[in-house]
Amino acid sequence: MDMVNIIVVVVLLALGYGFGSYREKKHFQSIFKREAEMKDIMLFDSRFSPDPNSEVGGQLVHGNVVISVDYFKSFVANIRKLFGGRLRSYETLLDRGRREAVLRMKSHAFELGANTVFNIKFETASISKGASGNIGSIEVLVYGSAIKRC
Amino acid sequence: MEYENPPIEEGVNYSSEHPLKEFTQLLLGVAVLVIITIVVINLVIGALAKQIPFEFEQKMAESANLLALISEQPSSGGSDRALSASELSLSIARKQYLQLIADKVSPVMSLPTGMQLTLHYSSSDQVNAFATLGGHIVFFEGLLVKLGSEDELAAVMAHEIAHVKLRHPVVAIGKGLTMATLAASVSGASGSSAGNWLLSSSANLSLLKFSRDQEAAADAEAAEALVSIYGHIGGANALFQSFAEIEGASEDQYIIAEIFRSHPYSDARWQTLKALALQQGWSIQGQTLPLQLPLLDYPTQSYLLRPKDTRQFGKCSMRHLSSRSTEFRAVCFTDTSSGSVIMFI
Repeated sequence: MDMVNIIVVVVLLALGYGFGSYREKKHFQSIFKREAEMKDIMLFDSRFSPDPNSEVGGQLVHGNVVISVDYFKSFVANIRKLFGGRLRSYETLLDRGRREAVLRMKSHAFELGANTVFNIKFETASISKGASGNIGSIEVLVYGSAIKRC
Repeated sequence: MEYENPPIEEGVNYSSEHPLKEFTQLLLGVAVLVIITIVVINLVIGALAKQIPFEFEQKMAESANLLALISEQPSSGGSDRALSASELSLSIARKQYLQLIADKVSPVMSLPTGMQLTLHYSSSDQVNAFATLGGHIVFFEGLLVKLGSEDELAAVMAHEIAHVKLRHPVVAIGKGLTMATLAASVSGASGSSAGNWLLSSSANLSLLKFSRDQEAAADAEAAEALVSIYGHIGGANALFQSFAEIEGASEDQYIIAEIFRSHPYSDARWQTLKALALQQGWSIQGQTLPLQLPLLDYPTQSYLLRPKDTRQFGKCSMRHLSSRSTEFRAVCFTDTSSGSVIMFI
């Protein structure tokens, strides 16, 4: 590997780390704030409505999010594959994805005038499917049935 | 029924550890793995490569087209320029002189049977000499003109012959090939193309990296040879001193780079050698023999000869052999070492 390649990698790592950390920090702050705002919308994983006599009758609501991994995270994850262990660099990514998807679903439910979502399901997909040369990104889809409990 | 969705505790599903901490740990881990791999490969290949028969090494050198590589060496005079007749004769004379010194040095070095040395002379101004695959030893004009005595030339010669004797080039190539294959298999290129690259790249064959231990071993062998020929290691002493002068005085970064890229650590090497001399009771100074390097002393005179003309100048006889051309110019120069006069037309 010549000098140019090394410089390119170092620059990409610095950019990935700089922007990635900044975006992640901002995203978490926004998630904390919105979670507090929407804490009154309750979530249930049961298949049956907790309140069969609700006013809004079981409408499908969903939240969907796609987040890209940065160069720094995938670099660290690639080295991590050599040793095994917790893939910390991807854990925050998936956590952000799930929580953001839930928040989007909640705001969907809120718009419908619901205060409860039951039978919620998570689906997670990798957009790049691990193809080499692609930078990985994930999609998280959350859906459930919204009702208004009394 | 009352339900509640309490906030989930932070830091469970993800780690709040600083990402650079993990990054550093992983990089250190990789560095340790790489170092362990290199050390193991060096040990294994170092032991195995010496078992390769010398004939195989010679065939490798043939397939790598070594002679083409030497003529490709950069020269300040412009490498695309064809050698003139006088330069050609000089390079032949110098090659013969190098062979003479090699024939003087090699008998005392007890080379294994079948190990042949092939001397090459290159008119490049690089201050360097190197030994490579198949017993080929290359001397550059840049180094030869800087030597002060036959002892110094013998010191370089013995050092390079020691590399050949101790099979250092094949060990270096073996390590290099293994590393290239390893790097290629990690980076995704095919292993054989990496090998081709390594063998065909002239830079790799002329600048084989020998380790510090290999240099020290070659120095010790060379010193032993010097002692049995000249009775002292004054040649090596003078050589290292002039290296130190080049290193200290020369502003020419190019010269420094060439000599120390293939033969680094000259001061440390001399100290090691001096300690060895002290231990063995070798004298580090003594009577040195003059260097009889054939020199180009030209042009002394230029003469115009007409067809069928013959002229005599001391031992130099000139004769116009062709009857077709009307006139030609002859350049006469003397070989100061042998006193003979060489003429080229």
